[in-house]
Amino acid sequence: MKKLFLFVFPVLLAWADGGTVLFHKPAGDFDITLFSKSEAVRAGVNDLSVLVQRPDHSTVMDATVLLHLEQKQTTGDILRLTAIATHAKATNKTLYAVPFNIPATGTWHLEADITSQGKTGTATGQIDVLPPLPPVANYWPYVAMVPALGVAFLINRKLRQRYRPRLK
Amino acid sequence: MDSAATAAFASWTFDWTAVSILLAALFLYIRGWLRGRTLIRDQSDQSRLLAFAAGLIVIFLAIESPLDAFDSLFLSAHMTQHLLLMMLAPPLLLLGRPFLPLLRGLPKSFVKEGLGPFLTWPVFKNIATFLTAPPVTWLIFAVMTVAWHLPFCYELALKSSAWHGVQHACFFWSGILFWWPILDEHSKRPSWIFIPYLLLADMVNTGLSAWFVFSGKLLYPTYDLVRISSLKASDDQILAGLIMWVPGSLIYLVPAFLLAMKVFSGTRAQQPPTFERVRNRPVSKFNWTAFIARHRRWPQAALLLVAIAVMADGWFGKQITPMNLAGTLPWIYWRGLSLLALLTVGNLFCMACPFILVRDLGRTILPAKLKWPRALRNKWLAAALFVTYLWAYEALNLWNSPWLTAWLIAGYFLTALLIDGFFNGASFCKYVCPIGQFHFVISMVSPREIAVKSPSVCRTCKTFDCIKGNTQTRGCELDLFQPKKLGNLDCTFCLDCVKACPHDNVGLLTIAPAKTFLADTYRSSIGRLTKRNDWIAMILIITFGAFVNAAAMTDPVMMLILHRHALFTIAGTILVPALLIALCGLLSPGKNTVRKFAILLAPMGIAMWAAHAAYHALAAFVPDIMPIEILLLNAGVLLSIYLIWTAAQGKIRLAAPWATLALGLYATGLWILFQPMQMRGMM
Repeated sequence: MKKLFLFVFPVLLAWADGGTVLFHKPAGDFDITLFSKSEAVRAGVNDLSVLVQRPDHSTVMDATVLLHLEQKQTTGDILRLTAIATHAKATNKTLYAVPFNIPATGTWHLEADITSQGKTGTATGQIDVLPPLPPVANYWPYVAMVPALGVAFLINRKLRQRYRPRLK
Repeated sequence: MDSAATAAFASWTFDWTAVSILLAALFLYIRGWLRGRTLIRDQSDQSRLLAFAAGLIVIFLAIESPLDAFDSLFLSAHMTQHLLLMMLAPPLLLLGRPFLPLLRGLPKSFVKEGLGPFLTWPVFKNIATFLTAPPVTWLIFAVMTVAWHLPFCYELALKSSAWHGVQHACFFWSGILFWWPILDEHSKRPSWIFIPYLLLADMVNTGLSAWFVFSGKLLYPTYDLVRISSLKASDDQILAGLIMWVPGSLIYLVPAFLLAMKVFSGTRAQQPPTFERVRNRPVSKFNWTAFIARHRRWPQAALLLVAIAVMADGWFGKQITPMNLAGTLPWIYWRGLSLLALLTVGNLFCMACPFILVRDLGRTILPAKLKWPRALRNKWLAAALFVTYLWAYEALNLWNSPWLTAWLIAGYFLTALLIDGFFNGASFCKYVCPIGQFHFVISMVSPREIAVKSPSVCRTCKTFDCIKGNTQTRGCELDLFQPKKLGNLDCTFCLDCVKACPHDNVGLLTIAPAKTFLADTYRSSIGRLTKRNDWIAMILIITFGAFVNAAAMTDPVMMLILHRHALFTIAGTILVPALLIALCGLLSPGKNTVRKFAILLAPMGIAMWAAHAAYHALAAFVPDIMPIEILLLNAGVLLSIYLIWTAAQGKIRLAAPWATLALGLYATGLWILFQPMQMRGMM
């Protein structure tokens, strides 16, 4: 969406990592905040990022952050996905981020494991994953350029007919 | 500085879309600025360039720097960002007097034909006059400033990326409007009115700032959700208020003070700018085209070495596609780069074609005296080979077999060597090479063409070296006679004609892309395009082949065709196009309409090839490639429809079936792009 506005209006802003706060919980010796870049978590690739802090709000920069997602399948099996969140994948380098591919909708059990300087902490929570939006819903502004420019072209032709003497 | 602070300062966004737009704006401005300087030199123009560039840098800092990364965590960062966008970038951009340079930077014909009618439209002028009247600009600015800082609106922007975008657009554009009348050099309004204008705006700013500082309650609770430092959200709010108050006020008060000085010192209206008419500006005489013509063996040799390396890796390297040169270079990067060159310059790949050195070698060891059979002097053989290639690409999994790819390249070299070793002229390039035909068709939308500089010089020429050659160099081997040549069809950009012309009258000239689609006149060595069924078939196969080639890598189509590749390829490139074209021909009345209009679908096919190649070449580097692909398709469909409209001379009944077909291809292209695709040859 931002890119559309960047195109239409020359100035607009990027989202920081973060965006929507999914949860904010203590995890052992740490406090963690889990963000989703988009407003809702949907099936497909989601940018998830984690802020790891000490209780005094100072940021922990040397942690190892593992994110696990689990969902019980209709067959009774448990589907478990794991990803490592890193500073390298984050725009805001104080966060740990990972593009997490969530394959199915529904409620997922999320676990964040934090390790730093011999201390560990785990926070758990649940996230509701919505169905993915159709691609057109994400990219409609780009597609809308065609009819918009088509209309501009027709107006251009009308104006050229009407003000032809002046244009010459 | 601790590690968190270091990380914070390293949090640059570098969003390629934003950076591309800023660079495009700077490019256009500099281009227009340079063009303007060749006419007259305004003494203040360098400072204008600097001001405009500074404005863009401020925007860059606002949207790409750590301010952006932290705007959802600190109100003070967000406020600074707003300050830059609303109060600093707009006046700097306007001090650059951007209107004329930006217009001059665009293609002249687009400004005259495309923008001209809008800019001279009385309705547009009236709206512009109304929107730039000081009371209106002040009111818009004040309303935007106040409304967007109301807790409900600000929270809305924090929670929704779309509204966040609208908020920033409102800030930037209201900033542009606010500063417009103050910095308008053609304004006839007395300067003094802008003193209360600025002071009243500062009062609004001061009121808002005071609210932030003294309200005693947290205005935007979102900032209290996450506390990332020792700074409490309430203290952050006070800091944001102070930033808005002190530097924010200075931006109003300094110009107001300067204006007051000017008014009270009795300075009359602005001095007219001083101009210096530019005469005898030295023009670079360096002839790049001739330089490239002299040294084109070097890129050919380089590409030959690359081809040898690709073959060697294909035969002897690991047969893991993404790790093998034969799996990546020909199918991913070469396709993307050659298309990029075709769309931005011209047929550079044929110019540097590695097969040429092998062909030339063949001529020295083989007779090369036979004439190419008359029955094959057309594009049918190349068209059949192109369809075969599309089939083989899927059926034999060429993209996934470095070994087969190496053999294919070797076969290509051998064919080029044998054909040009036994037959004279560039028979291989002109009648056989399917890659060459592909490049010829795509180069119809290239912005450059090898053409004569001055037709009058050719009228006096008696030697015709451009086609006959001379003792120094050969003439055009593809039988293109420069004075009668039109467009890039059949031109390999070999530059033999440039070297041969004794009058230095042939060069690489800039043209309007796709213009030659509409010219149904005699073309050297081709004749009239509408009389050449082989060329029309070639163009249509390449057009529809783009969709066949891209669709075959999507999940739904792969499931549908399974192993019926031959049927799918023939149906997609021959049967379905033939049916659709025939249907359009029936629906659009008139003589010769099918031949005239069918080729105008080519830009749509070219766009599909470009989108497909962009996906393969860029997906590994660009996080979201879809916008680029859609924009390419947009360009293709708009160009096709424009050409159809122009060819139909505005007759809707004539244009409608073809425009509908172009839109149908566009919809098909979008559907293909939106499907899950195989990441062929990519890790």
